[in-house]
Amino acid sequence: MSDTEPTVDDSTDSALARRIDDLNRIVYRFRQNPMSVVGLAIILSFVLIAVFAPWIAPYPSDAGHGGEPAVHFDQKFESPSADHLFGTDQAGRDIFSRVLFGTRLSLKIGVVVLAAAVSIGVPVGLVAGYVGGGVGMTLMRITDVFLSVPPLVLALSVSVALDSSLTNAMLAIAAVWWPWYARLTFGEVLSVKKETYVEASRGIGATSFRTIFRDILPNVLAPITVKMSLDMGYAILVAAALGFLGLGAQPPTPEWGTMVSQGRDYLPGQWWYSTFPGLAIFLIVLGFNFLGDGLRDMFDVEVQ
Amino acid sequence: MGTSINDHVDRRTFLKYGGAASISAIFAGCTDNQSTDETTNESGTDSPDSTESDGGSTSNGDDEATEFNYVTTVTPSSIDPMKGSDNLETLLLHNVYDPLLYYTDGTPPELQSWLATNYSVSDDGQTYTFELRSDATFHNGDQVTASDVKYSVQRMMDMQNGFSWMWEGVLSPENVEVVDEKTVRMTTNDVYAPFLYTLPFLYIVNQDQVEANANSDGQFGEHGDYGTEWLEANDAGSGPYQLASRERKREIVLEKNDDWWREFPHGQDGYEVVSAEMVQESATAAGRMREGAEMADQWLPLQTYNDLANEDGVRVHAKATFNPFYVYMHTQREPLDDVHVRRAISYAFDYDAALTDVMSGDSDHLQGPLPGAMWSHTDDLETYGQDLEQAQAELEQSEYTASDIDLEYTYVSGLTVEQNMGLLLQSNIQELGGSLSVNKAPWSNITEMTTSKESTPDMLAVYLSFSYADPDTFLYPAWHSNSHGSWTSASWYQNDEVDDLLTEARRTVSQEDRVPIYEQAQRIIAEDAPALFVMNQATRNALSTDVQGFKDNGITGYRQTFHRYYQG
Amino acid sequence: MGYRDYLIKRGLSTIPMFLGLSVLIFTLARVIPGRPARLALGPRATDEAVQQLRRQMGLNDPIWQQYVEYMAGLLQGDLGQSLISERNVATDLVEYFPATFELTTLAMLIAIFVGVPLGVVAGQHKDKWPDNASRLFSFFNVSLPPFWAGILLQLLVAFQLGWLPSTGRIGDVSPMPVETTGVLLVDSLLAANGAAFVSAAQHLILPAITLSLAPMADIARMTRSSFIEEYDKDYVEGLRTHGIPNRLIAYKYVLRKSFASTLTIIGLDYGFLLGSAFVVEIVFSWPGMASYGVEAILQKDMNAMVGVTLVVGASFLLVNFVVDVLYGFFDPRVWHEGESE
Repeated sequence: MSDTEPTVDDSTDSALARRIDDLNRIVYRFRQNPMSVVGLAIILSFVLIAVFAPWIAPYPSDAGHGGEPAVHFDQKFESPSADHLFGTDQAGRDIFSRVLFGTRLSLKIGVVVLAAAVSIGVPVGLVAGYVGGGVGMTLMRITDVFLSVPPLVLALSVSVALDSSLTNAMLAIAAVWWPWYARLTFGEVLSVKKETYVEASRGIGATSFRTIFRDILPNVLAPITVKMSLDMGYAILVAAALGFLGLGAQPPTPEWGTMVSQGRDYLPGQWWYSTFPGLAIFLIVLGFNFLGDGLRDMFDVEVQ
Repeated sequence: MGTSINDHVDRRTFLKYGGAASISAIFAGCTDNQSTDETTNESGTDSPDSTESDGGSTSNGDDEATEFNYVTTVTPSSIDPMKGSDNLETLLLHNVYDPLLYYTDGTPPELQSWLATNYSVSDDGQTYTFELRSDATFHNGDQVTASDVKYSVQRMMDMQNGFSWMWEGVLSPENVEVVDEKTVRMTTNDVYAPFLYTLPFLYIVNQDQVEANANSDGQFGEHGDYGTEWLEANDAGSGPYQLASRERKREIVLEKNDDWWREFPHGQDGYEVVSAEMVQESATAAGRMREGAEMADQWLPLQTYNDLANEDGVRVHAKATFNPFYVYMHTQREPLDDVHVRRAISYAFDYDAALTDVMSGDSDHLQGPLPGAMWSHTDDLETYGQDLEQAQAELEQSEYTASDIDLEYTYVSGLTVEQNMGLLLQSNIQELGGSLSVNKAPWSNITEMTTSKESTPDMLAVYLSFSYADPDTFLYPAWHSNSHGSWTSASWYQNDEVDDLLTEARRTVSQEDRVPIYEQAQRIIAEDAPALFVMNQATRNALSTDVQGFKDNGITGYRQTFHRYYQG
Repeated sequence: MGYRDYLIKRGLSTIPMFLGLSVLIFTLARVIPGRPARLALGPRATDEAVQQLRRQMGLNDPIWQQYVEYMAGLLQGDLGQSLISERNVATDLVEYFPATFELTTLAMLIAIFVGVPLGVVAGQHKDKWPDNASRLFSFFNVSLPPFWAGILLQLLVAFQLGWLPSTGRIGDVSPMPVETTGVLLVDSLLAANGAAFVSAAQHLILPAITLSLAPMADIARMTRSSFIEEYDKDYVEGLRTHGIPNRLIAYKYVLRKSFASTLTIIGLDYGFLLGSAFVVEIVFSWPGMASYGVEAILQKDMNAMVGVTLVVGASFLLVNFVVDVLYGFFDPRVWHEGESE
C-alpha cells in the first residue's frame, strides 16, 4: 500500500472518531484493489441470480421450481442453442435453468457451512485461548488432528458416516472446517491476551464472560470475516467435489458438482453437460477469492 | 416386443424328468453356431448339434495366436469360483472352470451335459446321480473325479459366498456322496425342483491342487484359507481357457486350454488368447472399441452404445432377455397398502416414454413379474399401460385421496436409468395429484434398509438380477413371504395363496406340472400390483464386426463365454 | 535448544497427532450405517452368514477393543481385510500407493518449477503487468474445481486434439515394465523400456497438470511476497552496484534466502494436493490409492477406508515434518526462538 493511505491517529480518544477513520481507511483500501471490486460484482450477480432465478430462468420447472419437476425425455441431449443456451441433459431438462437455480444451493451451502464452522470453531478457540493450560492445550491438539487430513478426505468419510443427503454433506464439511476457526481464534486470543487492557479489565474484576465478549471478540472479528469470505469459495468447492463423488443433493435438485459428474458419462459427445455447471462453480469460487483478497487488504490482516 | 420372444416360447421344449423311475436324460446338443446376429432382437436359435460340421471350416493357415480383447468398465474383486456372483466375476468362471451342467444358447436356455454326461433322479425327486466324463482333466492334468465335485460343494457351502445362497437349505455337503471315481450322488434336503438349473453355477475345482496351495492359517478351520489367496492368482479348473496372468484392476489374460475335454466349436477360428481389460471409463471403453477391440461389456451408458453403433467395424448387440426392472411398492405401508392406490400408480406411469425416450426402444414392457422369455410366462395377464382415467377411477375406489400419495422413491446411486425412471414417475404422480421425492442411496445402504419393514422405502427401484433359468429365480425371492427382509422382496408382499403356490412349485418335480402353478401365481401378483412392472431391459454389448457366433441367452456371465466365438 | 533437539521434539509431536487421527477415523468407520459383513458376502447372503462373518470380524466387540486390536495389527503391518478386494488392506495399499505417489510427486514438481519462477518474475516486476498477470493466473488456478479442470483438459487435449490419452496409467505396450518400485516412470527406465516410459509419461501429464494448478498458485504468491521482502534489502542494492546481472541476483541470492517460507506453503499444499487427488484420480481413472480410497469410502469398506485415511494423514504429517526440518535448516531462527518460550 502506498503512503497516500489515510492514517489513523492512535491517540484519538473518541471511539466514534476511530470507527469513522477505520471505515474510511477500509473503503479506500477496498477500492484500491480492482479485483475485489470485480469479486464483489461477481458475488452480487450470483446473489441476484439466486434471488431472481424463477424469473430469469427460461424453464424454472426443469430445475424443480414450483413443486413440479419436469422431464422431457424426448428432448434429451440437445446441444446449446437459442432455446437452450447450455443445451439439455439426459432427461431433456434445460441445463441453463438448472445452473441458475444451482446458485441458490451453492450459496446456501457456503453460508451454512461457514456459519456452522464458525459457531463451533470460535467458541473452542476462545475457550482454549482464554482458559489456556491443560484444557486449552488438549482442545488445540484435537483441532490439529482434524487438520492433519485433507478436508475433502475427512468430509468424504464424515458424510458417508452420516448417510448421503444435502444437510449431511453440509454438516460434514462444517465438521472438518471448524478447526481452522478454532486455531485462528486461539492465536488471536493469545495475542490479545498479552496486551495490557485485558489484564487491566481483569484487574478491576471483570468476569471472564465480559472479558471475552467486550475485549477479545471484537478483535478477532476482522480476521474471521476475511477468512470466511476466502473460505466461502473453498467450502463451495469441497461441496461440489462431494457432489461430484455422488454425495450430496438428491435429484432433481440441481447441484453443480453432481451435474458435472453426470455429464462425464456423456463425454466427449455431449460436452456441454459437464462444462457449464463446472464453469458456474469456477466463477463463484473466483468471485469469493477476489472478494476475500480485497477484504484481506482492507482489514490488513494475515490469515491463511 | 417383437415376435422373436414369442417364437421362443412356442418352440420351448421342457426337460422332462419326473414321473417314471430314474429317467436318464441326455441333453440337447452342443453350443450353437448360427451367426445370424442382428443389431437388435436377434433370435437365439438353437441348432442342435451342428457343431463339428461347421466348426473348423476354413482354417486360415497362419499360426499367429488370435487374441480376443474384451474391454470392461467393471473390475472383478475376486476370481475365486466360490466367490464370484455377478456378470463380471463369472466372466472368468465360465471360461476357466467347468460345471456339471451347462446352459444352451437358446432363450430360454436349457440344460446340456457338461462335466456330467448324464444323470438320473430318484422317484422321490430328491436324489440325483451324476456320471462324470471319463476324459475330463484339470489344467494340471489331474482327472476330474467325483471327490472333486464333493469338495467343490463343501468349499462352496463352507465359504458361504458367491452363489452359495442357491443351495442354502437345499444341499448340504454331507449329502454329497462319492459313489465311485466317476459317479457322484447328491441328495437335496427336500424336493427342490429348480435344483438342476442351479448346477451350472457350481464350478468344479481341483481338490488336490487347492488343498496343496491352501494356507493352513485361515478362517476355515482345518481347511485353512481354503486356497482363497492362491486362487486369486491361479486357477484350479478344467475349462476351455486357463488363467495366464492377472493384474488386479488392469487386465486378466486367458489362454486356450489345448487339452480341454471338449472341442472348441469353431476349431482354429476360435480365439487362442482372451484379454479382459478393465478401463473404468466408458469413454475409454468406447475408444478401445474404435481401435479394434473385439467386445465391450454391458455397463456403458446407453448414449455410448448409440454412438458406437455408428462406427465402422463396430456393431451393438441388444437383446431383452432376463433383466426385469421393477419399482417395488411397500404393500404394508399407507397408502400403498391399498391395492387401488397401487393400481392407480401403475396406470399413471408413462411406460411409452420410459421405453422409447428413457431407453432406446428395444426393451420390453413387462407383462407381470416374469420376463416374456422365461418359461411359464403368461401372456394374458393384467398389464398396466398409462391410462390416467383408469388411474383416477382406481384412486376413487381406494380409501385414500390423491393428497395422501406423498411417497419416496429410492434408487441406487449412479444408475442413471433408475434415476430417470424416478424423475418420470415423479411427474406422472404429480399429474395424478400426488407427490413423490426421488432419493438415491448407495447399494450397501439399500440392502440394509430392506432388512426391516420400517426402514424399507415406499418405492424402491431394482433390477431383479437373474441367475438360474427357472421362474423360481424371479418369483420366490420377490413374492414369497419367506424372502421378506431382503432387497429382492422390498414390497413386503404377503399373500398366503401366492406363498402356497410358490412353495408347491418348488416341490413339484415335473416341469409340465409346474407351469400352471406359476401361471396362477403370476396372475394373482399382477392383479395385486405390488410393484410397477416397468420393463425387461435390453442388454447391450458392443462387438467388433469380425466376431462371429455371439449369443446372448440371458444367463449371468454367458455373454462372455469366449470359446463359442470365432473370427469371421 | 539445538537443531537436533528441535528435530526430536518436532518428530515426537507427530505421534500424538497420528494416534488422534487413528481414533477419529476408526470411530467414524465404525459408526457408518450399513452392514459391512453383508457387503462382503454379496446381495443374496443369508442372515446367518452375515452374523457369522460379523463375529469373525469382531464387529460385535466393544469399539475400544476393536480399536486396540486394530492398532496391534497395524504395528505388524496388518490393516485388516478389505471387503471389496478381499485382501489385506496393506497389500492393496502397497499396490496402489506408488501410482498416487508418482502422480502427486510429479504434480508438486510441476507446481514448484512453474510456481517459483512465476513468483520471482512477479516479485521483480512488483505492481507491473507481469505481477498482475501472475496474480490473476493464481486466482484462476485456485478457483478451478480440480475435477472440472481435468475434464476440460480431457475434452481439449485428449478428445479434441488427440495429443494425449484421456484416462488410465499406461497404454497397451509390450513388454509391460516389470514392477520393481511400482512407479512406472522409474520401472520403465530401470528396464530401459522406452515405449513403456513414453506411454506412462503421456498418461501422467494431464492428471499431473490438473493437480498442480492450485499449489502452483500458492507457491507463486508465497515466493513473490517473500522475494519482495528480501529484494528490498540493502545488500541487493550493493550487489547491483557491483554490476551483477539482475537475473543472477534474483535466482542466486534473493531466491535462496527467501525460499524457506515457500517451503512451508509446499508442506501445507501437499495436504490439499492429496485431497484433490481424490477427485482427479477418479476423473482420469488413475489406478491409485485415492481412487481406491473413494471406492472404499463410498462402498463403506471400513478397513480400507481407515487404511487409506491413515496413509494420507501420515504422508501429510511426514511431508510437514520434512518441511519443518528443512525450514529449520534454512532458517535457524525457528529453533532458536524456541528457547524464549
